[in-house]
This record gives sequence, C-alpha cells and structure tokens, in this order.
Amino acid sequence: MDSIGATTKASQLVSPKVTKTKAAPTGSSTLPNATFGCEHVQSLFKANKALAKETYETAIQTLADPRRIKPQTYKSSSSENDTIVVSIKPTYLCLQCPSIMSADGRDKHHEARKHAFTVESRHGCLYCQFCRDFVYDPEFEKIRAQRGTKRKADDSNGIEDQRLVATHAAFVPCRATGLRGLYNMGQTCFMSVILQTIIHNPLVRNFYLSEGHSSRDCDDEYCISCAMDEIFQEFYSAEKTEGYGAVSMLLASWMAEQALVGYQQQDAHEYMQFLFNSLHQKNGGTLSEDCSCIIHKTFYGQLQSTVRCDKCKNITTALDPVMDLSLDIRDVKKRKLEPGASKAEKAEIKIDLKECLDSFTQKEKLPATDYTCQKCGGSQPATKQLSIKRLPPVVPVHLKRFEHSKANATKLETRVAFPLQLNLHPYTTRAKDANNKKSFANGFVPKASPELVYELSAVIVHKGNIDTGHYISYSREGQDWFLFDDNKAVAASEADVLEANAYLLFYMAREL
Amino acid sequence: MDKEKISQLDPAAWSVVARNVLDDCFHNIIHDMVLEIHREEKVLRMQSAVVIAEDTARAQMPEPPVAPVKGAPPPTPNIRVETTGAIYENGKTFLRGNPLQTTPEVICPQCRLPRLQYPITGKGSREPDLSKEYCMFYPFVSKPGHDIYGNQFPTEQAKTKKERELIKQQQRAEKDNTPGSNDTGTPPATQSFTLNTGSKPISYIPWQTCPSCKRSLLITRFAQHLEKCLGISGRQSSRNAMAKLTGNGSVSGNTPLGSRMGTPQPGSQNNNGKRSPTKKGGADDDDDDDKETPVKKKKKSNYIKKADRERLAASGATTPGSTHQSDPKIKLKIAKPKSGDNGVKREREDGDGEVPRKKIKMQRSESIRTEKTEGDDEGSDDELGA
Ligand SMILES: [Zn+2]
Ligand SMILES: [Zn+2]
Ligand SMILES: [Zn+2]
Ligand SMILES: [Zn+2]
Ligand SMILES: [Zn+2]
Repeated sequence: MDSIGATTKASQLVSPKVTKTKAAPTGSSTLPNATFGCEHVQSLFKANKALAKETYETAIQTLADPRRIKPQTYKSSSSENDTIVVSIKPTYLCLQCPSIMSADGRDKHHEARKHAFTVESRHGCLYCQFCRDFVYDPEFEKIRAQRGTKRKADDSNGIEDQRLVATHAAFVPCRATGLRGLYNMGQTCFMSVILQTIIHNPLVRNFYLSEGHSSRDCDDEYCISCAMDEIFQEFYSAEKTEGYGAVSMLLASWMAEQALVGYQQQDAHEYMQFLFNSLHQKNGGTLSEDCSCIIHKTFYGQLQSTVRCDKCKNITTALDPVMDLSLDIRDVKKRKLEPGASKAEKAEIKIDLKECLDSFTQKEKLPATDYTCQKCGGSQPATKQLSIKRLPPVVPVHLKRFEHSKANATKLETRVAFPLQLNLHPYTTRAKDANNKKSFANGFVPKASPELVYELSAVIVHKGNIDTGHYISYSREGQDWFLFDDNKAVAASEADVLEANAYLLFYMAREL
Repeated sequence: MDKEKISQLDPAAWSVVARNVLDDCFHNIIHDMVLEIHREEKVLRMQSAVVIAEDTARAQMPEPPVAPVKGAPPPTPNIRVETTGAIYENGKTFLRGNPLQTTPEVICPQCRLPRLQYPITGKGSREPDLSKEYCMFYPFVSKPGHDIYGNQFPTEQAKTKKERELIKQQQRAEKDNTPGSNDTGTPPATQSFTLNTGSKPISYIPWQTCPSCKRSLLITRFAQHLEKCLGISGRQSSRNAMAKLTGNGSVSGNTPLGSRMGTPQPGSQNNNGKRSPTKKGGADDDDDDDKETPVKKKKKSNYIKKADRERLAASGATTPGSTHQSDPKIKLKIAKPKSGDNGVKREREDGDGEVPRKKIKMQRSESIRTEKTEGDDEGSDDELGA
C-alpha cells in the first residue's frame, strides 16, 4: 500500500465508494496488470526506458528530502519578468528537463517545449499531459513505493509488500479480508483485543501468511504460535464473516501461563507481554541481544538510561530491552493541574500523549542515596534521563491507567489525547544528545530536525471499572478504521478513534 | 525577506497572507484525498480493463481452454485482441485510452466477477442490480447498529430469558433448514442472484465441545465451563502472580519463560496432557456423557476410556502401542481447522439434516440450560459481552 507523505483523510468511510482495502498491489505479477500506465508511457519507455526510470528516480529522491524547499520552488512566468515563488501547493517536476512548475505552468510548458510527463510534488505521482490525468505505471509505481531508495528493493518484509505475500501465497477468497470479530468465551476480551491488533499488524501477518510458523510442521503441544497460525489462516483464507472462537489460543495460553488460567478478566497489557514472550520462544527466539524472531523484529526496542554525576560530571549509560513504552499519566496530570483544583477540574483535565512522552524522557534528579558514582566515589546526587536508543517498526504505548497497591487496584480515567501521526525523533537518544550539546555550546544552530514519523495503527480501550470492565479495540487497514467489539466488526471513523479513551496505542513506522 | 521587512508589513497584508496560507492548506488536503481515491480507483479500472481483454482473448482461442482454476494464472493464448479498454497481445496487455473512461465497471482481479460499487445498506448504499453475479468482496457497510457486513446487532435489552431461547430456536431452525447457507460455490444459473451478506447473524453463537468432558456448550460460556471442568480453584490473585513473573513493568524482552512453560497447573495436567484442545462435534456419538452427574474423578476415567475408543476408531487397525506414542500429535493435528478441511467440518456442522441429529441438539440445549442456572449471576452479563 502506498503512502508517500500520505496525509490522513477524514471521513473516508463516509464517501459512497469507500472501502478499497482490497485494492490489489501494483506491480504484482500474478494478478492481471497492464504492462504500462498508458499508451504514452509505453512510447516513452520505447524511446529510452533506462533514462526515463533514472530521471523519475531522481525526481522521487528530490521529493524525499524532508525540507522540500527545492521541489516547492518554481519560476512564475505569468508576468513579463520571472519571479521565484515558493509554494506549499503541489508543484510539478518535468521528467524531461529540470523545470519545476505550478499546475498552470505545467500545461504551458507542454505547449512550449512538448514535455508531456511531470512528477507531482506531494506524492510523486506521474502526470501525463496527453491523458490529462495521473497515470500509475507499474515500473514507476515500484520506484515510488521505494521512495527512490534502491535498498528497499530487496526487502521483502516491507510494509508496502504486505498484500503481495498475502495474495501470492495461495488463492484467497475475495471476502477473506481478516475483518472478523472474536467470540467472547467468558471474560476473554482482554485476549481478543491483543489478538486483533496482532492480526492486523502487517509485519506479523506477513510472517504467518508466508508460513513463518506452519502448524503442520510443528509438533509442540498447545503451541501458542500454532494457535496464532490457525487464527491467521481462519481470518485470511476462510470465506467467513462471523466471529471466531479462539479456543486453541485460550487453551494454549492457559497451558503456558498459570496466572492466566480461569474465568476472570485479565490485564490486556500483561497478556500482550505474555503473548510476545511465548511467540518469541515458539518462533526460534534466542536469548541473545539480536534475536531475529518475528516478535523481536517487530517490537524490540532499547531504552537508554543516562546518569550524570552532579559532582564529577561522569556519565554512565545502561541499555534496557523493551517491547513497549510504559508511560505514566498520574504525575503528568498532577503537574498540569493548578494547585487546589476542584474535583470537576480534575475529572475534566485532558493531557496529551506528547506530554507523557516528554515526562518519560525528561531529566530527573536522583538523590545521593540512590546513586553511587564510580569515578569520584561515594554517594552523589545525579541526573538521570531516559531516551529511546532503538526504535522498532511498531511501538506499543502503554498508558498506566491501572495502579495496584497492596490493598486495592484503581483505574485512572484521565483523558489522554493522541495523534494519528507521531514524530518520535525528539525522544531518541540522538535527539537528546544533540539537545544537550546545544545547551552547552551557545550559538549551535540545529539543522532541520529530522523526523521519525509513526502512524497510529491500533487502539485498545478499557471501558468500565477495573473489575467488571470490557475491552474493545480499533485497528487500521490501509486508510480505513474498524472497531472490534467481541464478535462484532464495525466501521469506525478517525473521529471515533481519536475520541477513544485509550489504554494501549500502537504506532507503526511510516517508513521502515 | 529579513525580519525588518516582515515586521513592516501592515496588518491588512498579514490577513491576506494568513488567508492564502489557509487556502493553500485546504487545497492540499483536498488534493491529497482526491489523489488517493483517484489512484485506488484508477488502478482497479486498469486491472478491470486488463481482465476484460484477457477474458475476451481466452474466449476467442481456437480450442476453448479447460475451465480455469480459481486463482491459477490464466492461460496465455498467442493472439491479438482489441477491446475498448485494452489490447491483448501474446500474453501482455496494453491499455488503450484512459481506463476511467473506457472501463466503467470494476472487475475483481481475483475471481473476475464484477465488484459491487456501493454498500448494500447504510451510508452511501445503493440498490444493487441483482441480474448479475458479484465478487464476494462487498463494500463495507457503515450503519449504526450494524457490522461491516450489514448484519444487525441483536438489541441488548431483548435478552430476557424467553427471548434468548427464541433466538436459540431460530438458530436451530436455521441450522437445520439452510444446510447450504455457507455454500461458496457459484449459485445455479438463474436470472437473479441473491446477495450473500454476512454468513451468520451477529446473534449466532457457535457451539464448542469441551475438550475435557466433551459436553457441547455455547462458546460464550466456554472459559467459565472449562475452569470448573478442569477443577481449577482459580481465583488466586493472578495480578500478583503476573507481577512476579514479568518483573518490572514493560522490560520483559529477554525474560526467558522456558522453565515455566513446562509446568502447567497440576490439576489440569492429567486432563489436558492428552487432550485435543478443540474437537467440534466430537460428542456426537457419546451423548450419554452429558447426562452423567459431573463428579470429577469419574469424568476423568470416563473420558480416557472414550479417548481410547476414539483413538482406535480413528487409527483403524493399528496396534494400541504405536497409537499411544504418536497420540498427542495426531490429536493436535485433528484439532487444527485447516482451511483445507474447513469445508468438511462445515458440512458436518450445518449441512447435516439427519433426524437423530435433531434429537441430539435438543438434548444439548437442555444441558446448557441446566448449566445456566448454576452460574446465572455471571452468565447474564457475559452474554452481553462484558
Ligand atoms: Zn520540461
Ligand atoms: Zn498518457
Ligand atoms: Zn507451533
Ligand atoms: Zn525473539
Ligand atoms: Zn473477487
């Protein structure tokens, strides 16, 4: 699925011709496909295919530059003397000469120079002046999907290829879209919501649909990975739309983890950790740092904790493996409240996910009792900071809504606003280091700050109080959102998703 | 522009600038939306034009090809065919003109049937032309109180005991009367085709056979039943246990759980060490089990006997010794519904309209009803989906 700089669209589902989730991948070989985007591209390729592809690739690379000043600047020749215009509207890069033009300029350029092909600057789509339309040529689309980088050509696990594997493996019934509910087998919705997010995770899905762990070849009893494989088979190759009873998964979970046994509500986050661990083990997981199992490939990140002695300024760092970011919300909320805020104010306050991340990665004073400096010796006050050393393709974010004290457990209902797109760069070790340097050396001018854009892909919501609550989840397929509530699969809007009082959020890297 | 010049701009000019920037932003949002939809639609139409050309070419082949297998790459005749939207030539297809103009209909590239263009109900729905057969991938329905396949949710307040039974009766009636409701093959060549929406209504709740006692029960009561059936005293604070296991919060990446995996609940080991986790319809021949008073020990032995019987039945004339060794594996394989043997299972479940079968179902539902009274307090809200 393509999404070069794709901005999210509101109300996709409202339009009549909505769900094209099943749009076949371009450039696939087994599906019927036109050889060229249009007759005119056909003759362009006939003249010099290698050159055409090379210039298109160059154009796509120009557009990939995050600053984007260059492709958005064009000469306006509307008046007598040319003026330089920087526009935020789409511009068009000529494929046959270095000109960059507005939409009007593009048409005039064709009249004057007979250059018929231009590349639109926001998405890199090819515009054919003869067709007077955008054309989607298989060869060009492949370059566009790779964003002009050759490296990605041989990466078969890319998100772009998600459908390729699915459709090439075997014949898939047209209705097998993976959109089914999971029956509540009696307080098992904590399991269902985690399974739904895994089912709609393109990386894990690719793994299972390309027979990454085929239950036919596995002899383990009550194997969780086999149960997962069974679910993927049921969801993506059976022509059924009713709910599915994940009995094997329930049994395998009970067999593997004593604490999960029984008819009782569990914590979805704890179940997720359990599931990740079990799948890691059953898919050739190793204990070493660089385990290459599907779970580690998808979710494995590292947190760096940097401690700086206040006296001798000695810095020590430690790395922690993580499968999610567990964020505090209680303190963030407290800090935001005016002292002496009324109960109503406390209930209404809304915090932002970015505030939670800021708080998670901010500097923190360690009292001397907590830190012993190895360099200057003895207990010293110090400053500690967490940062993300390694970002995985998919980042689960856990909002700490449940608090367990010895006596009882409570739930925080605080609203946490979260974005559809999240730039995680500011929370990385690299960004924090750069920030620290900046504050030391005055006059340090940062370059255009790089972005690590993650897109929201799933949301898990806990409704009700801690004991009798219910879990539901939202998952994104392409640009469409779906709500899963036990055995129901329902169309949802972006607005519905953003309204949700999230417990777990899943962000997926826009580019891998 | 340097800073001074900017500050010299008069406020009126600023408002013009702000307006223009805002306009351009809206322009971009609309541009992106339109382009995305345009691409999706045009790619589908391109494929449709190709499918039409390929199918026309195949129809014109000297000797008609064998009926193409679904999904198999279609044969490539060495001829040249022109359709309105494309030219087919020796296995390759070239577009003619803009497929958005030449090819009004979207044909599914997989099953080669036309796609329904609008949802059948709800937002943006349109009455479909029922004289055609459509690809099974329908546009998803967006309608309050309905799922994406257009199935209506059962109304929550209608869950009085009587009504629940009514629903069950309907389900039974449906099970018995429409054996072919799941038939995915092409319908007979009549003039009008019926639209197959979701294959089961939302209120449909499948039966699940308990791997331990072989009783059939509604899947919504499975966890509760299994807990009792396995004799798990259960209710120990799982949170405390979990906290101990996962250590501190989310840092669980490398924690090996290996040692724990091997030691399931002692109480459940006997029962489950040898059991197939799911075996739908397995209780068919052994309904007498259902009527027995659920004394745990008795059940266990009973069950082993039955497992033996089954094993022998399944493996035919193999020696008992050899079946014993490979037993768990076989069981496990049986338990896994592969897409391949799905059809078979379906038939057994739904398509079977034999008379004795009905009797069995009645008995089953009775046993469920008695069970329901046991745990009535919790039972009611778990059916509401809590
Ligand atoms: Zn030019
Ligand atoms: Zn053209
Ligand atoms: Zn396995
Ligand atoms: Zn691993
Ligand atoms: Zn189809």
